[in-house]
Amino acid sequence: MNIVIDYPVIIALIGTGLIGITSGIISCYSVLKEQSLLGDAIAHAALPGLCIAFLLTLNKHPIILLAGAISAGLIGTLLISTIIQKSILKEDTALGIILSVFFGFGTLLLTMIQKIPTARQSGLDTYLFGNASSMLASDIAMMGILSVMIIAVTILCWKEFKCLIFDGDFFLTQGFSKTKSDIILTILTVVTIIIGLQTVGVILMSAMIIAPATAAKLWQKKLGPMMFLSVTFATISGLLGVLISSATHRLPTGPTIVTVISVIVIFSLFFSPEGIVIQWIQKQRNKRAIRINSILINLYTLAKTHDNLCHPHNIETLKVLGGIPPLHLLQKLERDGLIVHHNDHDWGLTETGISKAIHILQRIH
Amino acid sequence: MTTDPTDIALSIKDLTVAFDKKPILWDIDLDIPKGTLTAIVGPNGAGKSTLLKSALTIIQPTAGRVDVFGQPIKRQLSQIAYIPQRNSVDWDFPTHVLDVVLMGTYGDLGWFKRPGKTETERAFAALKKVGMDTFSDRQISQLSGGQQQRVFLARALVQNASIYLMDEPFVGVDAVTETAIVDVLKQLRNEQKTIVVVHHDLQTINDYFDWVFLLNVRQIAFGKVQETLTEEHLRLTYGGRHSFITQSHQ
Repeated sequence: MNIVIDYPVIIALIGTGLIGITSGIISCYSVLKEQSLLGDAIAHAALPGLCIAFLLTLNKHPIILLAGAISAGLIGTLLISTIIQKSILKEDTALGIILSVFFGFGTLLLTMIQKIPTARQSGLDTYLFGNASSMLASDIAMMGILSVMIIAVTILCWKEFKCLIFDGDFFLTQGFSKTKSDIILTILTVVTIIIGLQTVGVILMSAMIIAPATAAKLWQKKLGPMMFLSVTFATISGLLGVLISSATHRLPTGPTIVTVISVIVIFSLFFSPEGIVIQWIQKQRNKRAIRINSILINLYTLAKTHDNLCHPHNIETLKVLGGIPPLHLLQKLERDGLIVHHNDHDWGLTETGISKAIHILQRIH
Repeated sequence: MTTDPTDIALSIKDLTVAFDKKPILWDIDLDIPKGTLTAIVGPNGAGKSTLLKSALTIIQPTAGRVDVFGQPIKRQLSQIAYIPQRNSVDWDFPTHVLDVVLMGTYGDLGWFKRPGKTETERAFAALKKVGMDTFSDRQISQLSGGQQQRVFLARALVQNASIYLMDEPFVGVDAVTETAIVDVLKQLRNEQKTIVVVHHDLQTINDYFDWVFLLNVRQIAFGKVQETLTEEHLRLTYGGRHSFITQSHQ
């Protein structure tokens, strides 16, 4: 593997950077709306749109393909919401139906296109798994315009989108139109997904809508910083994905990008403040603190029957009070000057230990 | 006994809500006088929350009209502050207390404008009224149930509305919060505001409210608590199954 940064790679990097920014933004809204699977359906639904646009014009100009993909994506979204509203089917079923029907039809059309002699080299099949090196300067220009549009609308509708997602009913009582805001947000989502298709591909684009915000939400607790982090994660994985795939022969870009973002998600799941590892460490610390406190309280309870509160007891006596404490905890307490041991097995509180025990008991009761 | 206020704050006429031909609310007529504290009471599934939501056009009613101070509700939304059920939102949403309270100023701001210094001051004043001003920067997922309810109340207070519609504000909150909320509501009533609360606890109606609306899909009764909360009305509302009727009817 050797990384060569030539013109096509630079074009690919700029394009993927733009995808990282837009999908990082939209990812936050999709994840917080709990609609991340809608992105999957939209991406898959775009395939027949691409193919029909090509078949009608026999032209693979990105604007034509994009228009086809966006139309199909919007039709798919519209059908999903109609199915949910008008039929007894639930959301997951509606998503599943639209995704498979559209994608199945799209694959059929793609196979047909491959059989047309003049169209064989159309390169439409790269839309399945994405290929960043197929991007041209004209593609970048259009992606740039759409990205600026997405960023501008997000900044403009910042408080509207936030309130809509947090509490839609309340948003309505503030005099805003829920339907209008929903439509704007859906259009942004569809456009974001479509401009990512060429690089990431129909099959895996949903990962760019789900993963960045999922990881970012584990680190940040306010929408602004969360979105910034989400954009950072998406951009990093996009750029790394392009570099790795361009340096390796015939490695598709989409899966590479998705692998990188998945690593970020897994890392966050384990090591973020809410992650498994940090939570586990916290739990162990709490456990240890409780055991240490209970040693002090137990020794205090035993000594209370004597005149001298420092009266040492055989540690075996603690067996009846919830078990014999491990030696390393006793030694730690001794190092802290809270208890002393008199011979091998007899342990008693020091003066500081007594006041600490009393303090703990006061806090509990 | 106070004299009846002549102004009608919220007027609901022939309101019917149905899903798939099954009525949730049937032909409700209700005129809530200005400056009163009204409880909406009824069993589960009686349509209490639906009444609030359809009055606010969050749910489109099948029939009927709603007027606020004699004007159609659509033009009067700024007069109304809505406090939804606490569990109707995701408290894991990445935001903090002040930000939620500021949402109460969004209606005044309109599209695209961001809250500024004035709005922030208003939000702090509202937080102070519910005793939450020291929590302004707290992540909302770290709030207790009572604190969440107070934040929602502060968000409504910031709107400076004339009418407050609250959906079960006392569910799952501690006694201190319940008292604090009731104090704020009574204070609002004394300022001639109109408050309508979906309420579950029949024991506290006498202490908290001055008017009561008994509802079970159809309207059963509406009037001052002393005259309306009768054994017969409660039996009609709850179908004789509610323990309150046998337990504490004097």
